[in-house]
Amino acid sequence: MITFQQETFDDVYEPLQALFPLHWEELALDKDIIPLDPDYDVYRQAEKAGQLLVITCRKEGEIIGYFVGFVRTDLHYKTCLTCRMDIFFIHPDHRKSSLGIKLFTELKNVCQQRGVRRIVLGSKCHKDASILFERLGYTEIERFYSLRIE
Amino acid sequence: MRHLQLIAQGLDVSSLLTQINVNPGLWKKDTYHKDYPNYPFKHTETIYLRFTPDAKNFVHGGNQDLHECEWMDGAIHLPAARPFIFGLMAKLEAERLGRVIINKLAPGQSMFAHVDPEFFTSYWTRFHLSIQSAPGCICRCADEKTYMRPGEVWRFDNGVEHEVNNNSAVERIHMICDLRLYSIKSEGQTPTKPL
Repeated sequence: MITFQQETFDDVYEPLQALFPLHWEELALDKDIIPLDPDYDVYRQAEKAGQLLVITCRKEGEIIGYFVGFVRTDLHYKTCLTCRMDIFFIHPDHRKSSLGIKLFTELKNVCQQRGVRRIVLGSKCHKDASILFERLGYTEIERFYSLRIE
Repeated sequence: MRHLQLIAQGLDVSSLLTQINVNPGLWKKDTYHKDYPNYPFKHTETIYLRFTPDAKNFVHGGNQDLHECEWMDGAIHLPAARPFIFGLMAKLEAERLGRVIINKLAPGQSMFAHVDPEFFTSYWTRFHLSIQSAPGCICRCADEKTYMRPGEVWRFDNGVEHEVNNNSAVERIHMICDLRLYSIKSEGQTPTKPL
């Protein structure tokens, strides 16, 4: 059985510790100089403010995928409640079974119930998830650039 | 959320869970729910603390009060349930106590989507006390979903389509209480002047 559900930070903190290294290894840039070190206090504060959105994909009790985002009014458009993705990940062992589509479909359902008017997602250039997003109706709107300063 | 409402949290259910675990025979005493038509509960085991006597044979339209429930064996062996039952009634000023059952759903199993009969849902309000559960165990009522943590009490709208998927690693054990909450038909009713 595979289910998708919204969860709290406390419920997912421990199980996600096992998945973050995999996620980081596959997706992070500049791994040689920037170690993984999440600022969990920020996540906890966001959850207390009702702004953290965590959706998990579980199989027999184990988390095999997740979406983490922040829900708040847009900085430039404060009448627009926006969900901005932080991270998402599906365990490599479970990637051939449409779980990504179902995860983002659950995200859309949850956001609709919360009155979110726009969802903003990101896709790494070297691990491009655009096909998934475009299949779900998302449109490319912006590009981000990074500069390493030595 | 309209169909699911958190009523209380942080309750200590360890005594009740212990009593349940040392009386495993209670799960096998009756299979009324397991054998229910269309089998929404076919993966469920149930302990009956309070229920309609001779439930399989009651007939609508007869003289008996079909809402009247009686204490059953589960209540004898699980005295730790009483403070939760009567504490909830006092908290909500409930006027009448209906069914009290404890359901168990194994990991990987489901209570399939169904709607409870309007005859009951229009009279009673249903509450769940989560005794044992874990993340991944999700109750759905219409378009709302939640995970009920052990020690939490929830109002649960069984008058809309609902289901449970236990995608956790533990058995889900919930106590379900039906309460008749404060109800008044209309103003102006007096002993000698019925409406």
